[in-house]
This record gives sequence, structure tokens and C-alpha cells, in this order.
Amino acid sequence: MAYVIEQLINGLAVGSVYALIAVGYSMVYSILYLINFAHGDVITFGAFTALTMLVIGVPIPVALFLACVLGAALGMTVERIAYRPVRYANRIVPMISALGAGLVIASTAQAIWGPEVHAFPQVIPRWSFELFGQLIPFQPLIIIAIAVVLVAIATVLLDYTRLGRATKCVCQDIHAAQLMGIPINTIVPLVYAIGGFLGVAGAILYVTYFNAVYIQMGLLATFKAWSAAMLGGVGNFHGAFVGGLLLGIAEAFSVVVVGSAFKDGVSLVFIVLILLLKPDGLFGERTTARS
Amino acid sequence: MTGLFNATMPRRTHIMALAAGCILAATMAYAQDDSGPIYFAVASPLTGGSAAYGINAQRGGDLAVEAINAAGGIGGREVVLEYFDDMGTPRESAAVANRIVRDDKFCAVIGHVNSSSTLAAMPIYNEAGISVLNGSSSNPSITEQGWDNIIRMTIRGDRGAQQYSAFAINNLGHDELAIFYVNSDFGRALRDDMVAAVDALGAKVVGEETFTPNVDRDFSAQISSLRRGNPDVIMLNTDYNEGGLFLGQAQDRDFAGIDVVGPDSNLYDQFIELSQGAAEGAYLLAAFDPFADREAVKTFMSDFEEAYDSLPSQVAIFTHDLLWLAKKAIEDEGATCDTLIDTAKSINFSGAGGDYAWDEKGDVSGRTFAVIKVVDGQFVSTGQGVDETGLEALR
Repeated sequence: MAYVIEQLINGLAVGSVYALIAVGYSMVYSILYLINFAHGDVITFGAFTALTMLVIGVPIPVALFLACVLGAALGMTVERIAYRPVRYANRIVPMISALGAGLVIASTAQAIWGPEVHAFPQVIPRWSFELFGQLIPFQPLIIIAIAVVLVAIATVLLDYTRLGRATKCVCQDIHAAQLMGIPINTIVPLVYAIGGFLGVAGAILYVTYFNAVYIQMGLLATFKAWSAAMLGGVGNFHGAFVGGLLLGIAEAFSVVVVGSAFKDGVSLVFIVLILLLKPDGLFGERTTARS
Repeated sequence: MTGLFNATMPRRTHIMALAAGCILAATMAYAQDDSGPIYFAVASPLTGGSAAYGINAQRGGDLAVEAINAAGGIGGREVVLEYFDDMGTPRESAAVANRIVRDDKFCAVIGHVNSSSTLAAMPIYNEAGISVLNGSSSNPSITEQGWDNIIRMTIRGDRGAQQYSAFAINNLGHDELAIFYVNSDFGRALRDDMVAAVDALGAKVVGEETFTPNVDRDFSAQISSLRRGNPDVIMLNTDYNEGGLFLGQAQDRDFAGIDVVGPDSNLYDQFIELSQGAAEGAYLLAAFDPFADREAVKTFMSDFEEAYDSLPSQVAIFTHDLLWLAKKAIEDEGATCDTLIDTAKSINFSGAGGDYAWDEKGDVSGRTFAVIKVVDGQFVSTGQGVDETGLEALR
């Protein structure tokens, strides 16, 4: 039993990291029906920036907050440069321009920080404590808590503010929203900014928990987060969060049940099964794609 | 069309140039037979994913040739190395092997590095009868095919697995082992041989977990699972990135007091850095001891450091030692290029990487791993050897 709880904590911790990154994808998708291919590279850049600031001695909270803000700014820049000029073009066009933007960001990061895996300072200490005779690691719990708080704040922002309501209008019909006087060129960049902010927060938790920051993490995070978003229902904010948690738990328990050689395979089979039963994801609503 | 400039060249010039080329080539081939330079082909991956090996082969080779030529070459003849890029792939390795044997000027081949490359190229070398001096290919089957024209420097994979196990069981006195291994040819073979060796030595494997290389970076689920078996020692069959990350991630999981034993694929500074202090006390078993207190090693290490400002890997030191072995066999033991392998099998050789002797198959015999330990965040040589008691049954 204690072992099952420990694995549940493992799964929830890595799942909340996936979830934070997935939320960013899902928000952008819900507005423009486009996968933001630059997201993974934006969050990698944010994580490396956090590393550099910590190394030169910027206080931890300041460094982490600034890195998240940089993620938001980068997200907005990507929107301005790679998406807005081609917003109404064929869907292939923004996909390619976003891939290009991602490539530029990733290459810049590689030019600055090199291709090696770097250790990340432990901003959340790796303590553990005993509970009912079971050793409970402290760091995963904090990671879960931070993820929940960040998503709660984003929920309030989206559900109870004018900004949130405007965002929902844009989601429903971008053209009608524009005609109703909603400043879409403010709302859309803000969505990218929130996605970038949460994404870098997720990336910092990711590198803290895995204890490593490296260039290819963007690709891996994209893959995991996109799986999580599919699982929860693409375009659904809370669905992406729950999807991330479930993906993490599925990974941890595939080690328990089938063995670690099949960890990635099993979790993907799990996703395929759910999508077979619910093609729009767990919380997805049946939608028809706009052309 | 301006590209056809050759059309203005008289046809006879072509034929004369061709003839001159043939004569020149024939003269060179003749010259190498007695007093001209002596050529060696060094085959290694200079591009592609394992290019770091090839660069090390090149550096080790260049360093050795410089010193050998300064000391009068081999039997008074200048040594010349030609490097071939096998890209670390079997297909390219076979192509490289064909180029080497067709050239007919090489005394011997030094290479390849990756086992799959060596396995692909060997049938071609064997048919041509050219001597192959191999440094780092550890796949056991290389010396099990009946090829009589190869020796290798590194300890073969299955004996490596036996020695890691013997070190944990005999030297450290543990009897409950957990294995964490990379899910690749290298990792799975090591795991299989290790399970057999642990069984033969009367100990027990109480847990094993694996991971997909370059994809998995989160080992928390595997760590919890391994911890559950209450092992005395973790066998870390990984490379330095994953090995370091594993230990770093395990430090809040009650792993204090569990020993760590790993192969020299972990012997890089990043291993210590990524573990964030958790690698302290870990044992790494290395095919050669870069930190040994021996004059030959110290000289090699400082020359290498001076020339390239980096630490040599085993590929560098084996390439270096193989050239000195060729010098010794030809100069002191009267070997020719054709009898190089037979001569090497009959002698003992001492190089920068330690002492070597070879058995009938071409495997190094009587050589055990050097035991390196992480102390105060640094790799240090313990000077210990591996206690091989009980392994006889497996050989």
C-alpha cells in the first residue's frame, strides 16, 4: 500500500509538470485551432534563462519569476512574428512559420548554452519525512501544490474576469468577436503570454524534479504535453490539466504493473484506448474544425 | 555549355596522365615494401552520433605517431596514419573495409570502435588476410567467429559484466543487487550477463528496472521500485547523463548506505555534476585507469591534456597503445605486417593503459578493471583490482 502511494505521488508530480506545459498548448489551440510548435522551445529557453540567473546569484524567487515573465514575452513575440501575419492563411502556413520560430529559439539556446545536459540547482530541497512509517519525499508534494495553485489562478483569470470572458468569445468565433469590438490583437497575444508563463513554470518544475536542463527537453515536453492535451480533450483548459495528471500516473503505474521497459509505450496505449472510446478526449466537446 | 573544357584537351594527354599515375602508384606500392613509410589505416566514426569516439581515436593515434616518429619510426621507417570515417554504421564500415583492403598499402587496420562496425568489417579483413588491431569493440561474438587476424584491447562485454558483479559481491561483500540498465543492445546484454554472473557467484538480483535512452529523464517510478527490493548495491548500467540523473533524483528516496557500481561509460565529469553530490562514494570500473600512479599514464595524460585540453577516453588510449604494440612487435620481436597478430598473442605488452597479454582467440587475458571511486567530488584511483573468485565456472 505504501508503495502504491509512493508511486501515486511520483505519477502526480511528473503529471503536474506535464499538465502545466499542456495547458499552454491547449489554450492556444482553443483559440486558433493551431498547435503552437514553438511552445516547447520557448519553455526550454525560459528554463535555461532561469539556470543562468540562478548561477549568477539572482535570488531564487526573482529569478524564477523573471524566467516565467520572459516565457510570456517570448510567447507574445512568437505570436506577433510567426502567427499574426499569417493568421488567416491556410493552416499549413502558421504551422511552418511556428516551426521556424521554434528552430530559431532552439538554435539560439544551443549557441548560448551548448548541447550538453546541465544540472539545475535544487530550488526545492530534496527532503523527505516519515508518515505512518513510510518515507514520503517532500519535493514532489511541493511540485504538485505549485501546479495546482498556478492553474487555480489561471482559472480565476479565465472564468471571472473581463479578460477571461473576452478570451472565451474569441475562442467561440474570432471574427464575430472582432466585429463585437473585442480587441483580438490584445487578447490573442495575452493567451500566448499566459501559455508561455505557465509553460516556463512547468519547465522549471520539470528541470528541478528531473534535475537536468537540456536543449532537447522542448521536444520531449511537447510530445508529453501534447499527449496530455489530447487525453484531456484538446482545447479544454481543465481537460489538459487532468490529462497531464493522468498521463503521469499512467507512466508511474506502468512501471509497477508491466515494467519500466514499456513505460512510454504503455502510457501511449492508455491514451489510444481512451481516445478510441472518447474520440474528443475525456473532457472534449465534439467540435468541427473551422477551415 | 562551358563545362566541357576537357573537350579541348588532346586525348593523348589523358592517356599519358593515366600512365604516369599508374607508374607513380606502382612505385609507391613498391617503395612501401622496404624503406618507405609504413602505413596504418585507422577506422572509426568521425561523423555521426558516436563521432566523439572517432575524434578520440584520431587524437590518440596522432599523439602516438608523433612520439614514435620522433623515436625513429618503426624499424627506421616513418609511420603514416590514414583515417577512415565509418560513421559508426555497419554499412559504411563494410564500405570502408573494402576501400582499405583494395588499397593494399596498409600494414594493419586499427579499429573499428563500435562493435557493430567491427562485426560488419571483419569478414572483409579476414578474407584479405590483413591484421586488425582493435581497441574498444566489446561485443563477445567478435572473438568467437574463428577469425585469426584480430586482437582487442578492451575487456569483452560478458567478462565485463562478470567483473562488475564480482566486484560488488566479492570486493564489497554484498549479496543483494539491484540493476538499473539502459534499454539498448549494450544495456540489455550487460544486464543478461550480469544476472548469469550474480547467480553463479551465489548472490541475488532483488530488483531490475530500465529506461529508454534519450527519452526518459524521469526515473522516480523506477527509483521507488528499486528501493522496494532493499538492495545492498545498485548496478548502474547507464551512460554518464542518465547515471548522474538517477543518483540525483534518488537522493530523497532513502538511498544513503546503498553502494553504487557502474561501468566506465559513467566516467565523465558530468556524472558527478548531474548527481549533485549523490555520486559521492560511487565505484566505477574502467577498462584503463586514467588516474593511476604510473609514469606511462601520467605522461600520456599530460601530453593529451597539453595537446587537446581535454580528458582522453579509452578509445584514445587504446589507439595510442596499439601503435606502440605494433612498433614493439615489429622491431623487437621480428614480426612482419602479416604475422603481427600471431606475434602479439605470444608476448606481453606494457603501454600507457596498463599491461596486456592475449589469448588464442585474441581477447586480453588476465586483465581486470581498474576501480575508480568518487571522493570529494573527484574521480580517484583506488588501486584496487577485481576479486575474480568464482568466475572460473563461467569461462
